Amino acid sequence: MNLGLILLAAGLVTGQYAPQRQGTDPLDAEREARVHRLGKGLRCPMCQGQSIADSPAPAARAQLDKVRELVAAGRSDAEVESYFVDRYGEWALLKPKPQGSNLLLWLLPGMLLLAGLWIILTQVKRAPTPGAPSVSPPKADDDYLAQVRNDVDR
Amino acid sequence: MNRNVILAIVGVLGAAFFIAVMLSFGNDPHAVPFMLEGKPAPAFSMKRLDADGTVNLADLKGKPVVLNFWATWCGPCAQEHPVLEWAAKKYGNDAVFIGVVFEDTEEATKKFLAQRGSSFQQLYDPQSTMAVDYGVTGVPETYFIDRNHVIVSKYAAPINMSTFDKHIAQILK
Amino acid sequence: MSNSAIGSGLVLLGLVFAAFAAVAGLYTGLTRREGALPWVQRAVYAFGVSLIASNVWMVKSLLEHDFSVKYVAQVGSRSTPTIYTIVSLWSSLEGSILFWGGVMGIYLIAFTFIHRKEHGRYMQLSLGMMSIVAAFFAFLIASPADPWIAVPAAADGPGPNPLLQNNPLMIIHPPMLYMGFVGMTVPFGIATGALLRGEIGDAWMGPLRRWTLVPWLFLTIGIILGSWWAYAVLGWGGFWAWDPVENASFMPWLASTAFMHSTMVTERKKSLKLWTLALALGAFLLTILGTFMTRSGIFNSVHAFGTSDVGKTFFLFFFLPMSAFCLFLLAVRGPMLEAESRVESLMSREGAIFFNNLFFAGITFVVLIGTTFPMVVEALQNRRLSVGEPYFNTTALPFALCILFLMGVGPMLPWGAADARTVQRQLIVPGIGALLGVGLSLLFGYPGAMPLATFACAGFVTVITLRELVLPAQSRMAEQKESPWAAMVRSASRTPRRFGGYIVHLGVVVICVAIGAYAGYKQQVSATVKAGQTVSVGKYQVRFDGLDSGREPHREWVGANVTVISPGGKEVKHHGVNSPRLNYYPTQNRPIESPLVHEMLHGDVYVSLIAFDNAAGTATFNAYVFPLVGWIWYSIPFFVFGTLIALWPRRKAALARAATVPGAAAAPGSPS
Repeated sequence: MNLGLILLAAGLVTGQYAPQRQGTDPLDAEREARVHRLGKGLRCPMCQGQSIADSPAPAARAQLDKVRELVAAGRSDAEVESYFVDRYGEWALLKPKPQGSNLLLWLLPGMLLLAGLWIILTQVKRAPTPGAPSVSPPKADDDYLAQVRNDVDR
Repeated sequence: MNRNVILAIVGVLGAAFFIAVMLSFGNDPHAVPFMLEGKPAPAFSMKRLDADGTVNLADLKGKPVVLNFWATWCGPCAQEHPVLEWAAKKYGNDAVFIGVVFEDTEEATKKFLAQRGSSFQQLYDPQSTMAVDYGVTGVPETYFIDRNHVIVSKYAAPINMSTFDKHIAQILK
Repeated sequence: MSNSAIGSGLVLLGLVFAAFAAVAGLYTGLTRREGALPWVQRAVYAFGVSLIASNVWMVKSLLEHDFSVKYVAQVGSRSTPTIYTIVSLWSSLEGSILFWGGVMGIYLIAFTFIHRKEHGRYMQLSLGMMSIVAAFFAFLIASPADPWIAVPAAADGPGPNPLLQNNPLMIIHPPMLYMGFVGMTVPFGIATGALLRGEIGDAWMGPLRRWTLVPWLFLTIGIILGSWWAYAVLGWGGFWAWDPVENASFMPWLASTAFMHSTMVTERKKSLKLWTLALALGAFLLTILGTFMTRSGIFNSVHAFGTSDVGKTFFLFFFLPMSAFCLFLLAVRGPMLEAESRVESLMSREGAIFFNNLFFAGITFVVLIGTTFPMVVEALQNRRLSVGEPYFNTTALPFALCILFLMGVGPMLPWGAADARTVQRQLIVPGIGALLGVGLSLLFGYPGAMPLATFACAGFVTVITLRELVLPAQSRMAEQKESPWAAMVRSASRTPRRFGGYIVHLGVVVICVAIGAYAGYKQQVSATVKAGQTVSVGKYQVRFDGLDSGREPHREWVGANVTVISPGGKEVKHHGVNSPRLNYYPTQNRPIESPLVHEMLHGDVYVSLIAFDNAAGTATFNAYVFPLVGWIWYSIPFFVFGTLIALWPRRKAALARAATVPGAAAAPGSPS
């Protein structure tokens, strides 16, 4: 290990670069999992689009510390969220609350699915007459395809 | 379903999208909303960096407060420093000026202040707790807090003299 | 002559040729003057050569450190390693668009050459449409995003974005994506050419499918490598963040994958024609939208290029007219695309593909709406909100699981209508496969609903796919007394698309299992330790052996030497440049993490250095164990191999026979 280089790099760090910092000590496993889950849903303001649980930025770590502090103080999930919403608005939530026009986010995919389903059903022929053989023999379009089917359907 | 109906729906959705995109040019996607404007300033009690003792927001009752969050490694903060020095001299009797250093080391900050002057008190926020409480989104950021300790405005960029005059007028009223 | 004069001259030349090819191709195509084809071809070749030459010239300027060229002044630096200097060709906005133009040149030359003997009018229209796209890009390079502007030469430049210099994957990942994106221009040209011509028969389906498959493969590789890069570089232990830029590459992939499936129904059943064409056009439009999103400055992303004026030009003069044109074409030609037959039963191959397409459309829509919703809401309601990973995971993953399930059901069902009893009988073995998937994961102590469902589907699909791969060969072995190898090769070469497709399916299964294991069973620990102390994560120990540091021309780094100790007591040292590091670049205030990835076939130990305290001699780590995660990227050979097989030219005789499908509206002598 080169101590000279370490001192040099460390000196550089204090002058030009933001020092990295560690977070507060983790809580017990169960509450820490809650901290992590809540952190996953909160957007880090200093790091583009990442959650505070994912981002390596010191700012994200500070915010995750805050979540940990609030969880340790026995606050509910909603209270933790509202702490951040109070500061950054609903922008802080990576999963928008289903209210107002946000509902479109959830309803439109569902509507698309239903519409698609309906279109598919209209493509189908009416139910075959009972008694008719339920397997239609594959119509050979040409020799090549017939050959392929021969190979495949055996 | 009629194909034309589908195409019409796609067209309408597309048109809405186009309008939204056209309105979006010039919006900054990196801007972070700030919701504490008009809200009571979060309480704090922080260790002073330039002298002994702590500073409590509650102890400053009835006084307007200017809070500046910064760090030594941030170039714009260094540019802004003279403006704050000037402002502290000009308005120092009307409002309390407080600098808050975070994401930084005590050592580097002391060196910085010794070199560049320090005419107002500086707090050290080693765990960024105060910065998180105030919804800071970067450095430098300047908060203007009135006599009743309500946050009147925040300026989230290096501030210049005329902007500073405008903002502080709001809390001195 | 200066570099910038030569470079921009070549771009202007390319613009002129592309514009000529576009006008000449479309005009002569629409007025049925087929004699003009050679001229259109020559113009396209000339465009390609000009743009490729301009790219080569830019690389030369970068290597010469000619800081009088604006782009070199922006991204060049004498201290950057040579390989990254070359790579910086595509590391920033202007360069990436120039590179884009070069790739376009390669594609157009290849397409024109391969189909040089094809039917004139058909080619003129297609080449004309492609040349419109080419001309637009040449215009972008020539004016709003000109990298060749001459500037006063500086002594040195800032160098490319540090994030791009952090890992060699960045050398290969962007060109792959670009080749995927740009390549969609070719199927777009083929499809619009066919629509313009008004002759929509089977003849154009072959080239359309093949030319979609090529960019599709590049897109697939690009996306997988991109996720690998994010995993190996960004230090947060994830590989996919549903970031707008990632979504931008994912959407065209989804659309073209859906296309690849619906085209089978179109060919076999002569239905879904409008939908198949809409998907081909949609895939192209989504690449354009994606390009716009990464370069407009109105989407927030880690990867996005800075704000620029290119976005508005792009949107108003390209995306908008192109979308309108596509919608118009589909509306006008729609009546010609009536289905010639109806589906007999949903319990059939085509039924499965219908649902496959529905779910692919569903994911594409979810990704599209999730990515653009914040922008739309801000524009229309002046309200800021975020849509991130939790939203996409809850909405898109169920669709993905359905698709995985269908990947097993589809190949099992025959075309037409299935007999319920046969299906039941066929389900037994794959069902055992599914149970085996669940049983194995429970045996190894891996519970959880989503991963178990994934493993069950994976087992189910694997059994069916392997059966479909092996059965034809088996029958050959039985009947023709061929050796297993010969039987396999013969059966594969008889039905290359089918064979290749199933190999790709296996690749998808591998990815799904890896993601399921990763998401369900990763373990994470963060800890601050002194030298000599260990951090336990899962069954592994990570021992901290002390801090280290180093200096390279373009950066300095601080690392934490660690030793990874496996459950068996085996120790592997990761010291010096191989340690988890923080990289310090002169142009950045914040260090950039470079995690340690201790790769193993059954999973990775992943350690990132979060902070260090030189005085106290401590280091803070985030340590993870990610089971199977590497298989996401190890799956790439499946995709490459499968696609190459599917692209392999079929034997001439078989081709000729296949071309005589009754009802094909192909003109005599037209391509197949």
